[in-house]
Amino acid sequence: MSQEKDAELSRLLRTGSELEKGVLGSALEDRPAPERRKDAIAQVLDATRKRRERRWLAPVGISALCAAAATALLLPHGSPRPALPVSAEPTPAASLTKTHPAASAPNASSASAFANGFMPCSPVSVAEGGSPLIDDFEDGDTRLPLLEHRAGSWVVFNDATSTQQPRPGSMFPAQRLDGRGSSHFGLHMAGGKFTKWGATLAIELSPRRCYDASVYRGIEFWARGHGSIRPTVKMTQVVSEEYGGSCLHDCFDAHGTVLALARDWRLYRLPWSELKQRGFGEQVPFDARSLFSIEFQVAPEQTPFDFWIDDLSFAK
Amino acid sequence: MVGDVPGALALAARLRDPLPLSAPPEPKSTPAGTEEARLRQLMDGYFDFVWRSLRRLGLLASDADDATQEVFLVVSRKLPQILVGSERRFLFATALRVASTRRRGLRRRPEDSSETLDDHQHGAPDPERVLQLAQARRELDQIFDGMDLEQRAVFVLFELEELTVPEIASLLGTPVGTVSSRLRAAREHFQAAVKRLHARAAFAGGRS
Repeated sequence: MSQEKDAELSRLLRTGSELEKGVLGSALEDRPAPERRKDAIAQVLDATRKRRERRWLAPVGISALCAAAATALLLPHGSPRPALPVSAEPTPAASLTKTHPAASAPNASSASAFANGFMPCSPVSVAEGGSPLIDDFEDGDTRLPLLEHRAGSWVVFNDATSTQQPRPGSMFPAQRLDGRGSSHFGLHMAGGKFTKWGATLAIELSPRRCYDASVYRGIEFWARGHGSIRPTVKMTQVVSEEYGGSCLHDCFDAHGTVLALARDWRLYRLPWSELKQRGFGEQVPFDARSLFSIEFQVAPEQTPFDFWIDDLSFAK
Repeated sequence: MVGDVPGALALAARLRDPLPLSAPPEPKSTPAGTEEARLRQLMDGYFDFVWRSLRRLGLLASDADDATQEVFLVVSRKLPQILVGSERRFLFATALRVASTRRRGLRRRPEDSSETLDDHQHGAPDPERVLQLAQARRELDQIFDGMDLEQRAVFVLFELEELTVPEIASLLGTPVGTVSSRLRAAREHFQAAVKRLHARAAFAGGRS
C-alpha cells in the first residue's frame, strides 16, 4: 500500500459493507460512564495531592528520625524510645485500582484436528449408494424420507432484518407446483431485502451424527427463481464443536457455489469438486465422508429473493 | 493475545520520545506553576480518548475504568517530563503499555465474557438499540481478540480515531510503510472475521 493510496484510502465506517459498518460502528459508542469519569478524575487528583504532601513530609520525617536517633544516643539506656511512624509509600496504582489474578489460561491449541489430513468423524451414518433421493417433497411435508439413514426436517432462518416466507420457526408444508412434469410438490422460499447475513433453507442429513456420502459424486436438484442462491454442503470440519462439529477456530466457511437461477425449472448438478469455501475461515479440503447439512443460502446482496427447490438428491 | 505483549511493550518503548502531534486540539497551555491545573486539563481533555483507546486495545469496560486511572496516575508522576504538545502521544503510549500488561492477566476470564447492558447504555436509551450495540460490540471484541496489539493499535487509530497513516506513523514512532502493512493486514483480518461471525450466526440461527 503506497502512501498515495493511503491518502485515498477511505474508512470502513464509510465505505465498508453494512456488516462491517455495523460491527465497527459499535465502538463509536465507547465512552466512560459520566459518574465513573468524575470519580476517577477526583481519585487521581486526590492521589496526586497526597503524594505531593508525602513529598513535603518526607524531609520532616527524616529530620525527626535523625533527632530521635540523636536523642536515643544521648539519653541514658533504659529510657523509653520514641515510636517512629515509618511506613513505605504505597504505590498509587495499587491503592486505587483493583488487582486481578494474573492467571492466564493456557491457549487452546489453534490447530484443527483435521488440518493434516482427513480424520473420520464419529458416530457416522453411511450412505450405501442405492437410494440417492434426499427429498422430492411429494409427501407434502418437510421431513426427509427415511432413506440410507437420513433423517431430519427442513428449517428456514434469517438475520431478522427483513421478513421471509415461510417464517423461521414455523411448520411449513411443501407447496404445490405448477408445470413440472409428474412432480406436484416443492419447497418455496421468498423474502425481502436482508442486510446482515441473509436467509437460509437447510436440512441436516443425520442429526447428531455425521454423514458419509462418499459413495456419491455430488448433489443435484431442480430449481427456478430469480437472482442467485448459494447451495452449500457443510462438513462437520467447518462446524464448531458447540454445534456438534469438530472445528476449533475460524469456523462456518462451508463449501458451496453460487448459482444463477432461471425463471423456468432447470436441473442443477454440483459435483463435489465444484464446491469451494469462501475463504474467510479455516481451509479444509472437501471430503464427502463427513457431511453435516445441505443448505441453500441467500446473502444480503442476493436479496430480495424468490426461489423453488425440488427433487434434491445425491448424484452418482 | 498473550503472545503480543512483548511486541506491544517494544512499541510502547519506542513511544517514549515525545513528538508533537497536531490532531486533535491539545488542551490550552498550562497555567504557570500549577501542575495540578495541567493535570486536570489533561484529564478533562483526554479522559475519554484514553478510556476508549483502552477499550479498543482489548480491555473490558470495567477494566478500562481502572486502567484509565492508572494511565493518569503515571501522567501525574511524569508530568514535568511531558512536553507541551506531546501529551496525546504520551497518553496513547502509556495506554498501550497498561493495556498490554493488564491483558496478560485478564485474558477472557469466564465471568467477563459478557458485559452488562449498563456498559453500553450511555446515550443509547432505546433498549433494542442497546441490545444491537451490545451484540455488535461483542463481535468487535471477538475480532479484535484475533489481532495482535500492534495491528490493533494501527487499525483503531486509522478506522476509529480517523488519523492518517503518516499521523499514525508519527504517533507510534514507526515507519509509514510498516503502519501501512499493519493496517492492510488488520483490515483483511477484520473483513474476514466479520464474514466468519455472520456465517456462524447464519448457522446458529436455525439451531436455537
